[in-house]
Amino acid sequence: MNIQGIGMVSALGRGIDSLETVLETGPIAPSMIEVPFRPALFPVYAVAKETLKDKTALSRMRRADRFSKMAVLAAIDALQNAGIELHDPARTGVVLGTAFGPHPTVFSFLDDILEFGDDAVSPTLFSHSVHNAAASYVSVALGLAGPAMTLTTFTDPFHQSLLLAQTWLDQGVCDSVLVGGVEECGTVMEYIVSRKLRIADDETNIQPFFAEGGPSVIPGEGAVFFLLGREPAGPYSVQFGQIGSKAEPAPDLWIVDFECPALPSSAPAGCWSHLAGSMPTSTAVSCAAGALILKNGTVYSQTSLVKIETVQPMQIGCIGHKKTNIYLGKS
Amino acid sequence: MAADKETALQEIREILKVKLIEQLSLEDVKPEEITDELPLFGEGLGLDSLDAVEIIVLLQRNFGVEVKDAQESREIFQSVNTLAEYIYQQKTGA
Repeated sequence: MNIQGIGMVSALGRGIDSLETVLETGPIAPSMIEVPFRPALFPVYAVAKETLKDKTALSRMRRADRFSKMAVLAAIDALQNAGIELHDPARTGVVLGTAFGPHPTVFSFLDDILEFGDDAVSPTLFSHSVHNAAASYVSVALGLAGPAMTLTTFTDPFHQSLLLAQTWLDQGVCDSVLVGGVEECGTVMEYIVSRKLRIADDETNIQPFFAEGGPSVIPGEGAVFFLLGREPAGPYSVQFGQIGSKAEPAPDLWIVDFECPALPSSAPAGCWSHLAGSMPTSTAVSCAAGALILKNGTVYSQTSLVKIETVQPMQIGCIGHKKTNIYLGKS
Repeated sequence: MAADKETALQEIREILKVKLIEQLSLEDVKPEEITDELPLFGEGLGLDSLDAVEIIVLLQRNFGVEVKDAQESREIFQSVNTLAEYIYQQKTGA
C-alpha cells in the first residue's frame, strides 16, 4: 500500500506541514483549559476553532460536530497533498479508525435525554452520535461512492483500519482508500485521562509509559488521513508493509507510540506522536512522522525520547499500544 | 395591556434569535442580523426541513410549547415574529 498523500488536523494546525514544522523546531505549549473535576488548569493539545474554519471545504457541514469536521478537513488535505485526481469515485473507499468516536456528541445526546426527556432531544445531535457519521461526511465532501467504514476499537484502531484498507485493495474492491485515525477530546476524555494517567504540567514534563516514574501525558485530539493506493504516487515514495504482531525483520528505526509499554531492544527508537498530544490513534501520527522521515531522509531530533542514533532508515517499524507493528519502507 | 404584550413578545424574540443561532449552528449569523420579519426558510435565513425539526425541539425545550399540526407549523415558522406570537398565545392563552 503506497502512501500517496497525508492530511492532518491537530493542535499543531492543519496540513502535514504543521507536523513537519514541530518535528524540526520542537514541541509547542498545550492549551490550558478549565475543567469541572479539578481546580487547576488542565493541559490539552486541542484543535483551535480557527483551524476548523474553512467555508469552502465545510460548506455543507453546518450541522456537523468537531469530530466530523476534523475528519473531513484531514481527508481533503490528504487528497490535496497527493496532487492527484480520483478518476472513479466508486473505487475510492474510506476507513476511519477511532477509539472513542465522537464521544462529546454522544454524551451531549445522553445528557439531553436526561435533562429534557427522550421526546425533546435534537435529531441532529442523534444522527451525529452515530460513529459512522464522520466517514459518511468524508465521502460526501469528496464525492466518493466507494465503501465507507468506521472501526471503533480501543486497541490499535489505526492498525485495524490499515488492515481493512489492505484487504479492499488486495481484493480489488477499491483502487484507493482514504484511511484515517480520528480522536476528539472532551470533558469525559479529559476526566478519564486524569484518573488513569499522570498529567504532565507542561510540554517539558511529558514522560512515556516506560520512563522511570511512569507515564505523564498531555491528551490530544485530531485527525490524520492517508490516501493509499497500489501504485506509488504523490510526494512520499513510501509504502506500508507488514502489519501485525511479528517484530521481524528488525527495522532500521522503531517509532513507538507514547503509550507503548516497552521499548524494543533491537534498533534505535524514537517517539514523536506526543507532539500532537497523546491519543488512542497516535499511531497515525507516528506513521505520518515515519513517512516524513523516509521522504526527507532525516531522523528528527525533536523527541522527548529515547535512543536516537544517526541512522538513514530505509525501513521503519511503528509500534502501537499492544506491540502491534506497522512497517513503513521506501516504495 | 398592549404594551405588556409587546414587551413580552420582544423578550421572546430576543431569546428566539439567540437560541436559533445556537441550536441550528448558525455560526456566522448574529442575533441583530435576524430581523423580526425575515423569512426563516428559503431566501431569508435559508433554513431547511431538518432545521424545522430542530425548531420544534427548541420550542419544546425552551418555552414548553409543542407544535403538532404540520399545516399549523407552516404558518408559525414563517419568521421570528410568527414564532414569538405563537409562543405568546400558547403561554398566555391570548
